[in-house]
Amino acid sequence: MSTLEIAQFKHISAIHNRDFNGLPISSTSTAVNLTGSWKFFRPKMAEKGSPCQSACPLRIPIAGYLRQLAEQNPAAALETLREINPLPAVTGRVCPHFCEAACNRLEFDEAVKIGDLERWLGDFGLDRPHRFAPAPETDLKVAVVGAGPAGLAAAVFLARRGVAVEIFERGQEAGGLLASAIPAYRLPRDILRNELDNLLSSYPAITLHCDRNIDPGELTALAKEFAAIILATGLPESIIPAAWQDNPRVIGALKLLATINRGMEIEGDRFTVVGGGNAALDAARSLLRRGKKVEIVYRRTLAEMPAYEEEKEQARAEGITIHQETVVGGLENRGENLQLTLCRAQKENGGIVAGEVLRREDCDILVVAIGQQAADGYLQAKLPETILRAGDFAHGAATVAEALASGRKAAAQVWSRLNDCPVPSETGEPLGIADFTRVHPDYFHPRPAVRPNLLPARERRAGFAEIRTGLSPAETCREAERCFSCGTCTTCGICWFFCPEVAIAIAPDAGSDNGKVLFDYDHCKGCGQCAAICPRGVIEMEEDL
Amino acid sequence: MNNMPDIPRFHGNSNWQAIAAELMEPGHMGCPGCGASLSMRHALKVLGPKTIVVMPACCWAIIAGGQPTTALDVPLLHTPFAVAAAVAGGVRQALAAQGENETTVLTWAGDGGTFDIGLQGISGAAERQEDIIYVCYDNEAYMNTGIQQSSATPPGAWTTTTPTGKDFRYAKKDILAIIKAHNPAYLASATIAYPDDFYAKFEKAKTARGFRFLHVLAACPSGWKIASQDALKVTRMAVDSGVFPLVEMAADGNLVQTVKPAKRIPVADYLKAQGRFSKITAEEIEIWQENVDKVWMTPEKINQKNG
Repeated sequence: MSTLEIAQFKHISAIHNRDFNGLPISSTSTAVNLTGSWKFFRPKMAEKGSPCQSACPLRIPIAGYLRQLAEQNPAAALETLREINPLPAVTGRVCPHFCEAACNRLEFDEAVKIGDLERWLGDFGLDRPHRFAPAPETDLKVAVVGAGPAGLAAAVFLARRGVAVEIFERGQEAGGLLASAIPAYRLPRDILRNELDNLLSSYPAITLHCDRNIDPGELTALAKEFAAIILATGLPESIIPAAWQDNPRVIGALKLLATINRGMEIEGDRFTVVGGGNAALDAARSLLRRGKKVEIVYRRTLAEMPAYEEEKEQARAEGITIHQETVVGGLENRGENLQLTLCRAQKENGGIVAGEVLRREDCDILVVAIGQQAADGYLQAKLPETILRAGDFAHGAATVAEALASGRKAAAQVWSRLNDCPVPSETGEPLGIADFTRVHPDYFHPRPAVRPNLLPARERRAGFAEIRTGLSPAETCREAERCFSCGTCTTCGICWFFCPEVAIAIAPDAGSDNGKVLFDYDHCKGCGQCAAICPRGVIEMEEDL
Repeated sequence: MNNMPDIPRFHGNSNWQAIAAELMEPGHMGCPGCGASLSMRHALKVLGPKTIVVMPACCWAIIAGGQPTTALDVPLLHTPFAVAAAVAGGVRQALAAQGENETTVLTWAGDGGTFDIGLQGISGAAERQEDIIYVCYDNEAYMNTGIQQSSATPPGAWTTTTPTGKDFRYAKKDILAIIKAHNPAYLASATIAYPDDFYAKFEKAKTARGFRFLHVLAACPSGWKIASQDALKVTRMAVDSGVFPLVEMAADGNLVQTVKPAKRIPVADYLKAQGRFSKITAEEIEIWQENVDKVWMTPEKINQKNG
């Protein structure tokens, strides 16, 4: 309630001097009228989760870190991202990006290239130690078996709570399948090593023991030494049909990939890969890069192949033949090589069996990539219930993001058990999702997404160079700007701009319950235009009682 | 800091704070969702504190508040219905006589005071090239007196005096063509639903000298029978369907389109979004669509129509 300063009119001397005979002049603000009493509904701030966040197994607050990237503050963006995802340079490359498939921008023009942004930020963080709020040190010690993504995530989230963690890894280095199975053209070795080294050196509470295999039989003894044990031993062995198991010319895809990844020589020239998952394509494409002749045999159609579409396209572009709806019906070891009997796949009783014989052909090595299973001793082991499982060993073969999420969850469960408290949540559960029906992109303009370059197929075949090029800092900023920030108020001011009542104020740093947008309920008439135009779907109308 | 990916640039700036200063007060008497109130708020942000508003009878004569209150932080002079343009010209000349040449004199009139009752006064002021900005905020009927038809009411629209819809034989007056025939110093159509365009045009009007005219489409939720939260959306649809093209007078005196909507929508979508067109027939929609198609949007076509 304010009386207008008559001085505001001083450039008009007649008004300033009230130099009008008999003319009525108003100089009190209409703000004395509490027009807020007219309304039946009132706006409120209701921040929500974004569809990308809810699609992400890790529930990364994507809108949050993309906004920091757009504001050219990558250091802050990195903090936001790594608070939830300890391995962004890895997931930025190997995750299938469930987030992009859920992006609201998909319904507007094209999804934001979240994966490439995550990758850029991950690379930006390779030489920047993790920063985290120091927790009071505890005298708790937890053992983690397996240094794959799940085990590492479990260790990181325990270490952040002040728990000492010892990781037992049977291999020579940390990383699990990231190191042994994912080819360098998808995840370069130096990137992986830098990311892991940076992670391990950031958390002094974590001790890694490599070349240290833990037998299921040892767990009881281990349980006495540690307050808790998390098993994240993964599914490191390829499944090989019993009839082929003793054949020296048959090899599991994971073993083959590990050999290649360690830079060791592979015997044989002609390879046939059986399977249709990412492991099959990884094996075939890695062999191709070693100059081998390779083809894939898959029992269903190309469209049904569980491998990522991008991988399929790239493999075909590189010239790998994929025989669809074909099964290996017979296998004859002829000493020098193998003779395969390739048969048409025939559906029978819900399964697929070998039908008519298509042809016989020779190869040197048969690579089997039809599934993976737990390591020898863990396959049948009955484990004490007090031992927690995480990662592929807990939930079956899944993505790196799911393994990280599982490790983080296991850490929270261990913490809850050791402290007799509810399971803590790092991400919180959003109250709602700002899906496309709730955001209002009316004042956005279509803008195409950034297009990362792919190495041409011919150059790809020549070696293990990374296929997808990274973004430049400028591209990163521009692409991050495309994010709608669904569900998060950015103090963009659109509501303020379109309020006919002059009843909205923007307080970028206000920490009040109302958030960053303040409504003047004394004057707001409840028209609802702010809610109808809020680009992020944050403002909602509620009944005014 | 770039808070505003892609959305309005706020007067050339990416940050709303650039235009944070208000010259309009809350607590005014506009209805919820009033397009005329919003238009005034932003018009004053462009024109600044050195503005005198002259206003005939219209919605805004009520919105501005009763004695002793005022919704504007600039001087506002209420005039009788027919004389707003003449009074504004007089105010401007009186200021000039005192050597005051900076202050913008703005006539802010509704469609009734422009298309019907004030037309002779506008014509005279335009003839004399009075140095004023005349803004007609057009909500397409006499709204504050209870929604009576004006000559700005589009055919087919319900008002209390056209209960079955305005007779389709009577078109909405082409006010831009009428004013254009007076060779104004500046002439444009605008709507706050296209804010960048709105700001640019008020900026041009502010710097030009002579008689300047802006035709501003302002949604009226009560009179158009739309929900108050849809006012902006429906106004955007008026532009996107081609019913209300955003144009301005170029240096050569021709009207050119300033906003080409990314996606053109059918006229029917615009009409069906409003309760006032509920009685319009399919044939009438078709005629309307054809009329819009004839002038749709290319400058050449608009010139053909107006030239």
